[in-house]
Amino acid sequence: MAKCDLTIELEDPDRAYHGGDRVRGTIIVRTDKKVHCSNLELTLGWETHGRGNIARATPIQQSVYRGEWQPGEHRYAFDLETTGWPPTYHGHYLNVDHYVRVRAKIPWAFDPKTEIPIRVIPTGDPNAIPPPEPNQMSNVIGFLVAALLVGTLIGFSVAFVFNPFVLAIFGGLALVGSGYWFCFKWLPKWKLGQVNFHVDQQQLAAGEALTGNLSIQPRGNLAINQISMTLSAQEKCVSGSGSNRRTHRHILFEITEMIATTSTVAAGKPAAYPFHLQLPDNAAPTLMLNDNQLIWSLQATVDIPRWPDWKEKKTVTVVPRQNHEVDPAKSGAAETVAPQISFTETAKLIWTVRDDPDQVKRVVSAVIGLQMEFQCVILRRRLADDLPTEHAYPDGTIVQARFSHPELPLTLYAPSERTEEFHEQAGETWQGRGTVVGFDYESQSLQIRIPAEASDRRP
Amino acid sequence: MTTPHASPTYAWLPFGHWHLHRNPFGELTREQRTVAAVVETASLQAVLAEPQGAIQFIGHCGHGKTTHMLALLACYPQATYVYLPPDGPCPPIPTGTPLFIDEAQRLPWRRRREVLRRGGPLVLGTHRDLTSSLKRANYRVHTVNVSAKLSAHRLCEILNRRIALASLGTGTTPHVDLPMAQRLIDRFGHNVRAIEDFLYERIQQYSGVTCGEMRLDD
Repeated sequence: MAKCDLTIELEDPDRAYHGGDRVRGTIIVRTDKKVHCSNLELTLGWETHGRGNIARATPIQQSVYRGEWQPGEHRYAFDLETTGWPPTYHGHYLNVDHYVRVRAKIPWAFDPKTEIPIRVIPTGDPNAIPPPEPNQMSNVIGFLVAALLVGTLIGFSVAFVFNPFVLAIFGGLALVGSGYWFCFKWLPKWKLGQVNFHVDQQQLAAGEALTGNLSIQPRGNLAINQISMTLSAQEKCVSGSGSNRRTHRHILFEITEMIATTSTVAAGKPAAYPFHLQLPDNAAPTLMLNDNQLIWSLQATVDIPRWPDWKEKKTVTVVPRQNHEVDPAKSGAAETVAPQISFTETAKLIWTVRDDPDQVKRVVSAVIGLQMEFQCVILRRRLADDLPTEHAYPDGTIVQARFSHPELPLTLYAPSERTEEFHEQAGETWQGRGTVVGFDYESQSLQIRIPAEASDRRP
Repeated sequence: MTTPHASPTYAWLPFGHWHLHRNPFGELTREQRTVAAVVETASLQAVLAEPQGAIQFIGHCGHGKTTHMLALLACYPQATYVYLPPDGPCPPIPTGTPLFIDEAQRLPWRRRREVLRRGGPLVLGTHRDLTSSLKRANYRVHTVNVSAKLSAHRLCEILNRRIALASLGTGTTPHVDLPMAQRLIDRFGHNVRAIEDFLYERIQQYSGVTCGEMRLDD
């Protein structure tokens, strides 16, 4: 049998390609005898590997040569355009690689083939990606599962009529299910009253901040241990099917921000808890490739003493920063993004641009949610009635203060348990930590929320 | 004159230093599984040469029934393969010569009777011994217990073939030797899937590592 070897040589083999860049190289065919090739096929596409069932797409397919090869070496230059999505990604259970592949179809013989991986940096809109090749097995299974559910429903309806024992078993199961729902869904919700968990951005880029608000309006006075927001990225890969189906999960990144500590919300009064969580610059993007997914989610947890916790999860889509390479190994899993700017620098920046509301807004939005150490001079306590109270603690204190250099006005929101610190302190210097929550354009003051405990700073 | 091309270093690949383009013990496509299968097919093909020849691969989950079937399937371009899911109605059983039915123990007796009445060579992957049903339909049955066939030598070949499939072809890849294969059998029994799961996690620890020696077991 004739020997036929294929090799791919790239012009720049270790180059990282952006979407739309040209991959140039040469296919080298070496044969020791005369060989008939019915098709020399060249493809460029992506494929997942790791623990999930393989997803793949080959958006570019070309026929390079058909005919007879004489013994010797034959070269075919190629020039292909890369697709920018999904990007090359190497995680724990989920990996995506792009390949240039070549296969020679030889009648009545094994088809020789070879491949070479290339690195692709994300560009373009992930919503406009060519979809992975449909997993026909999944469609069939989906249909079968739907048919099973309908069949089961009909079967049980008939069984309930003829056999009360079946009714008892499934009635028991339904009771357990509804008991779980009652304890862990209905009870916390009932305690919190009206809850509104809102995320400002459904889609955000790596390096950006995820902001939003959680507001509650309880029916009765509500004590809270703490309210926290957990932003996490998880690889979720499914392998096998049917009885061999297994789901593999790996937490890639997790950050928890405490947005409120021990406090009491007065009955019927709305309490708002804004949050601000920073994504790392090289955050891995959301990937949804059939059985291979990288999912970003934000979970809000309200810890209620001696009561089941209220929890709600929202999914957000993270897109890569343009031309930024994805490297989960360097994404600093489970690290908190520490503020890179001091309070003095923040105050100076705001002071410099204080006459331009747009600039002020830009600076303030960059530091919202950051907790900083600062020193200020207490001026006076304010009444809640003459100030915007969305950041105020229930039964807490609002204090007017100013920073020293520059003399930037500050509005401090202190919890009830720290009211003493600000009582009859006019003209005194106060030092501590607080979280920037906004800017009051009317009084031109930076709004800062003081945590419930002086040493409180938990990521 | 053509410009000489530089050889790729693959330093950007997580296992580039180990001359692997991916973790060898992740999921494979059906085509890759066929290539990686270590199955002696010649004697099995002789069974299927008879019009009423039937082969059943028996074994527990993860022991290699489907891999055996896929390796044999590659020898028959006219064959048909069908997988019976655990839930839902049984899918239509196609015709094929031979006909491959995976998870054949899930075949309802009425459908089984129809398939056996049709005749023609059969290859079954099953958790339960179906010899009596097959014999009643005048089949000559050859049973392969895939769990019993796993020796250290064979495991060594299976694992090294998986590693070879992930090789970049740029240098020496990690290797499983006989003592290591025996240690893996002692620890995980004949469950190849459990062994592959263990090795996946083991190799994953070397992602991005560019020095030292890769140790595949303790």
